[in-house]
Amino acid sequence: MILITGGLGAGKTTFLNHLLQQTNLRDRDLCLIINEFGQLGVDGRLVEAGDHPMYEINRGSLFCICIKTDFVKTLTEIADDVRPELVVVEATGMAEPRDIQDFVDEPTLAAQFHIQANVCLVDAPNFIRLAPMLRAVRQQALWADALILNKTDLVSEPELKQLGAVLEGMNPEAPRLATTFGRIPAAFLENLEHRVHRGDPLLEPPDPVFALSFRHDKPVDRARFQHVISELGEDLLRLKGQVDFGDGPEFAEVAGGRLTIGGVVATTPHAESPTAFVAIGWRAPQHDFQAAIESIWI
Amino acid sequence: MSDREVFMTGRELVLAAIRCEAVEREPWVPFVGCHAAHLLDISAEKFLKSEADIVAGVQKGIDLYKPDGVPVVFDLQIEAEILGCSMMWSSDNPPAVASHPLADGVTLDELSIPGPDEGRLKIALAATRRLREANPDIALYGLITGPFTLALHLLGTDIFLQMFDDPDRVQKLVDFCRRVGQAMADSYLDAGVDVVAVVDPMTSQIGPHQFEQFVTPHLKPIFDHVRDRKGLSSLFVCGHAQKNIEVMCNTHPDNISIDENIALDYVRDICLPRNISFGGNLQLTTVLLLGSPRDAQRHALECLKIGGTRGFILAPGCDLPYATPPANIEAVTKLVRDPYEREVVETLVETEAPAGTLDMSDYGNADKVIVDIITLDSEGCAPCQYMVEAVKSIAPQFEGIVEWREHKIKTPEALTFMGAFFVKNIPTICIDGRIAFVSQIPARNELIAAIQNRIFEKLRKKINQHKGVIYLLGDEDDEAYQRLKDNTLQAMMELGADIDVDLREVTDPALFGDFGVLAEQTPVTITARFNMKSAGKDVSTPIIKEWLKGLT
Repeated sequence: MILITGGLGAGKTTFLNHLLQQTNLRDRDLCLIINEFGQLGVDGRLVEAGDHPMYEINRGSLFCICIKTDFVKTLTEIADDVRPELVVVEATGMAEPRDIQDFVDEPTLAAQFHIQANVCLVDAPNFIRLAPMLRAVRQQALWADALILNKTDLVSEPELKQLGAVLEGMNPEAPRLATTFGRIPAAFLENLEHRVHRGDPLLEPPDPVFALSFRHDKPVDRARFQHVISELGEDLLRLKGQVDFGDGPEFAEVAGGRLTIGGVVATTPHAESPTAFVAIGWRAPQHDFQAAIESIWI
Repeated sequence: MSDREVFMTGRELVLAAIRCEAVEREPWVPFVGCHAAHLLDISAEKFLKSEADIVAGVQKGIDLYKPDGVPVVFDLQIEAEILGCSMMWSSDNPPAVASHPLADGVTLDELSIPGPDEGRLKIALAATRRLREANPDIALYGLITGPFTLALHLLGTDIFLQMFDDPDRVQKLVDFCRRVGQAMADSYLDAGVDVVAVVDPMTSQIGPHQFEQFVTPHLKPIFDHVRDRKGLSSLFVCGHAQKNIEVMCNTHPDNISIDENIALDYVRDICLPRNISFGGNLQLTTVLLLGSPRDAQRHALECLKIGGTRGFILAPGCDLPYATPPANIEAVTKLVRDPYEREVVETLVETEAPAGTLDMSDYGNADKVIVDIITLDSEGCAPCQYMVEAVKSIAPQFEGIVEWREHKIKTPEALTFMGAFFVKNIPTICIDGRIAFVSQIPARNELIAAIQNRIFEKLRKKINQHKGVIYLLGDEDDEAYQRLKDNTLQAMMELGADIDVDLREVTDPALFGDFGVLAEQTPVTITARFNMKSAGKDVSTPIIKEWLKGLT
């Protein structure tokens, strides 16, 4: 089984269609499981299954334990009726690799399937904003056997470098490949080694990327703010919102290592707090990061 | 076996457990959602669109499973559909949301709070009223979609990006969904539910900080509202939500219900000190759908032991899969309600079955009839004692013909017999390896008749195994030979079905010597009896020697 994960919009469908055109896959005896509800690929196409049998497991946006029944039922049908050499699964953006592993390990399937590779499509423009908010996106990247950084034409070089550093920190063992439209060399998947992930969720390490919200009525000293942002350095991945430096809320953003202040507040102005922003951090312990930012009000 | 005597109704049990009060036994609330459609042999789509089918299906579930509580409808898409999400329907699942109006150009201001007469809410409420009237002693749950999950239905997964890019927009959206939740709670409480269950599975995707920021301010008011209405509330969450259990408690539901992804003891240890009850978390697929009734019981027993007798409600982890075998749910009901059954299952769990199995191929072929009684322990268990007494009392009538023995499942050897005989219930009487009486103590004449039938059956079998041949040796032109043949045929005809004998003529003089007969001795009559000693299996030399000795 080849498992394709990645958040919605990461380009999984485009990637899959590209894979299916590769001769080393196209001519194989395979079938497809599509677990993303009727989503069009980035370029507006659906999965082009061709002659390969395709099974859809659709629960919309929800990823609930109930989906295990659907998965096991589908895998049983494939094992009994189709018996392909390879199953390619395009998982929903909400799926965790641990759960898919659990489905495959169901005793009634009698070890008929094994995951050969777990490939994660990383949405280059959006991953850093999405990962702190969505557990599944973090888990997919953490436990991938390979990371495909997709849509890299939509990010700047510094942003791509930053993304690479974050992914290296999260999953140093997974080879990374930067691409557009999900195009990868045919041989990329062949030498991947699958790492099985199970384990007690309570023993998981702290989240590698996190997002914290800040609000205050007190004005912020501009120089102090800039100093704190500079001190945080690469530990601060993103910041966005409004900051009141004494003359009313101003737009503030950190992206690609650059701080931008000024101009009209781009998002819904926060009515109650003149200063309200979200900061995404990593590497630094979360409470240290929080204390550092809160020091702007000292 | 009988249900334990309980003076509280199922409804009272559920309400007491939710309030963390003492209960006479743990309440059992199977989440019979679209599984009810399976009980009616109709599709989930047909079921969820019909008030009559919902009432009939849920009522059938109540009649079969004797729950203490039950949800009326388990469908997290009712509000979303009214608010403009399109649905993709399924034959064996609730529908899936197929479009998100706020991602397709609709603005939040254009949406209005669903009223009780809108969409399938109208059907769900009508079904609730009817089920309420028909089942006054069962707790009814009204399920509503939690505000975060509803927000996801309306906006799509863009909501997660918006939580960074435009958090206030997300707050406004979730606040709208909070108002929807409060209105839904009012509708269900007015229809007569006891518990408003807020089902918010997508909160398991966000961490505690985002939960406190985007969920707590909107979930807590729903629970406060239900409390103000004198109702009880439950928060259902699916998925790997263990890091959120504490913040979930801080929204002040009366109860938290979880699925198999979170350890039950972990939730217990966080909830109970906060005086919040908890429930769950039977495994849906591996056990309830794909396991056996005994698997379901073993697993339920584990949950009951962890859950304890205060503040715990036994329930599946989520909506039962459509095709869950009813026998599995019935088995859990039996475990919950029948203390004897629980003792049996506990004993089975504690006793380890030995490796290897009993070879049943020759069982029942002994000369005597063997009566095996599989019990918990006749010395400590009344039904088992009566079962043993029943056999003991008639055994003297069959002295020398019947042998009886008790197998107590506290011993591994007894478990081997239990498995070999395919015995599922205790106590059971088997006669020559076949189940004859299960759980019910047989009347004396019934037991005597069953044993006698087996005796006669064995006798017939014994006769059939002894096949006979009568050989006639002689010259077919010899009158003496013809008279012998005629007399033999006459004798066989007069005996009829009482014998099973073949007549074989040997008229070739060259073959007389094979029988040790000289030609001048003919006509000769030789009889021979054949006794099948083995078929299709290897037999050792020592055994064959014994057979041969038996011929001399």
